[in-house]
Amino acid sequence: MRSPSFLIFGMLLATAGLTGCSAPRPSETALSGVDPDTLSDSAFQVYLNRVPLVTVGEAYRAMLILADGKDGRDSFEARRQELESRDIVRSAWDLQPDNVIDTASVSYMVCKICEMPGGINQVLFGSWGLGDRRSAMRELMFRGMIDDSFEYEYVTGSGLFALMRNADAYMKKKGLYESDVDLSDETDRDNTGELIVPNASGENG
Amino acid sequence: MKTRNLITQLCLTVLCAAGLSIGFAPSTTAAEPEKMVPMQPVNDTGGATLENRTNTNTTPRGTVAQPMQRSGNANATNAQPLNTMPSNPPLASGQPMATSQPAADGEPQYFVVERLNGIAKVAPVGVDVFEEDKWKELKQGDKLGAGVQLLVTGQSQVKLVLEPASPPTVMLIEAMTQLSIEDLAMREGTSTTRIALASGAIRAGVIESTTRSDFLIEAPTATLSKKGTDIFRFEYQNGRFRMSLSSQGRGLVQAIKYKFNNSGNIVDAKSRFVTRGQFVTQQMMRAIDNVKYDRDIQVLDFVGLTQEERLNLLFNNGLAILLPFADNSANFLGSPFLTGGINVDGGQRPTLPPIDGGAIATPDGDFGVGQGLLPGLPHGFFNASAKRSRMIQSLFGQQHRELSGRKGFGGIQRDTPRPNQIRRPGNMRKAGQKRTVRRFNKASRRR
Repeated sequence: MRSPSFLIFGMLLATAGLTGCSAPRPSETALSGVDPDTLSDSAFQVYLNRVPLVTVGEAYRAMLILADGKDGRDSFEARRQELESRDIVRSAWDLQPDNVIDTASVSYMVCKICEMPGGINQVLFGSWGLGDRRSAMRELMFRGMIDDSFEYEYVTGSGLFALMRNADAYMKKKGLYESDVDLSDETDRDNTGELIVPNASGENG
Repeated sequence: MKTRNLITQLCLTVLCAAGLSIGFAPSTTAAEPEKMVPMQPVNDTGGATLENRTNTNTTPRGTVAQPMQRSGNANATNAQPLNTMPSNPPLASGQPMATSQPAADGEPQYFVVERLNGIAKVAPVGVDVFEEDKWKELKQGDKLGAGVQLLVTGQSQVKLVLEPASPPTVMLIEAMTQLSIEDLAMREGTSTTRIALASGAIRAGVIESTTRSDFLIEAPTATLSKKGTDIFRFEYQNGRFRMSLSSQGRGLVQAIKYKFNNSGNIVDAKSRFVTRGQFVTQQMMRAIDNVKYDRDIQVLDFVGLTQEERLNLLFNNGLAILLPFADNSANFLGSPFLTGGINVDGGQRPTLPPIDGGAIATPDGDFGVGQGLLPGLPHGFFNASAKRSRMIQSLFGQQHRELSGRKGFGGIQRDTPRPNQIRRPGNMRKAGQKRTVRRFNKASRRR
């Protein structure tokens, strides 16, 4: 017969495991002296790179910046409605703005923005909600866009920043946003393989 | 502790200088292949952090790697202090560009914004990123000198060109990148460029001309040193980096990774050279060990493919078509000139009647690259090659069924060679000739 203390410990551990990801961000893991709601999009991106843990509200804003290049909304509710209307976020998740966001939820949002179809699990089961976030996280891990992690792992600011940069590069490569600024073997070499250095006036040198 | 660190530093310096100074000499003309210049000793900067560097507008600069010397003197230390540069670097916009004349010694150089996509902001070094009123939006044509920091946001790229264009230098700052231009000047005939990368990615290309180029990109834990190189890339994020040289790149990239003690002092440096098509990460593995981590992930969207893309996919996966023997003219879609080939011994091989140009459809499937059969399932259940064969059969009509020789396709007489048999000199039979079948038994095996 197990001792009562062992049972109590097990119950507490189970409770912590179930509710761990939905906890508000501790104050010591926030960036002191900076209110992200007052920052512009460019400053917010630098803020993301420095903050130890990312909340749901900050992640929603980051995803809108990733998707559109800019935020354009001034409240969590407006961002949530916009993301849900595009199916980037599911209302069934019921994420609270002050809680720390988990890796799987961010992965799902990134996959949706980058239009990654995912594997068979994502198509068969994730389409109606079973393991959708986990499948998305596995997809990003397969593509090398995030490190191996768990679904319920907290998202750090620098981790989210790196993921956004990888996703941005993916979107550019896939043509999800237009950009004619490039420096590569395909676009900047002449017939002999020499690098083309343009003049500052815009003509090729 | 500090004495021990100093001794360790000196020992590393002597070893590096002795090792790298053997057999290297600087190239003097652009026509000669670029040779490696001895790396200068690594100085203790009290912590190679971006914050420390960006606040040194007036103090002498303690460089992590010294400028390369023409004489190849490994012990020369000629780092010029930053206070010789203007304290307020020019941030002019829309001014006429300078002509591409080589800059004189001491003459400052500028990066000019040649092309811009999205939003990028610039401010003098030392301005906090959260002091948004001190940041200006970058515009095409702006000139950036030493002592400025750039912030490129998402879905944005900035292409910079060095002016005066000697040596010709182009740099692309990718999205979500924060960096500062620490040094940009001509000294003793060498164009010196120091970029401090906080996070993000930079691509650059420098053409070595009559003017030598000393191009360094420094991150908090690593440094990229260019050796007459074009289109190299440096990506850095939170202690992790990736330095690569494009597949058609020229020259070498030297990756230097630092090791710090608890005080933030550099106690060790590890260096590795990267040639074209290679990359190195913070693990500093050899290029051949990195290859296994470099993979392309194909995304096949069968629904979204166009007809031409589907046909191309079909080509690459095999059409399950056996071309006429000894004939490489693969124009199987209607050429009237395709006939059977010539025997090895010079005789004419019997020809098979061509089907719509000469192709003979067989259900053999892919030649070594097909999906194969799943065990326990009937042939063709998941066999894509068999499905393709059936598709081609339906396209080409009834004729090939009679020639395929497979069961259920009408069949042919066994004494006639099957079209899917590989013809070899010892295997040739004339029409009507019976095939010799060898039968093995225990007795013959014993022999």
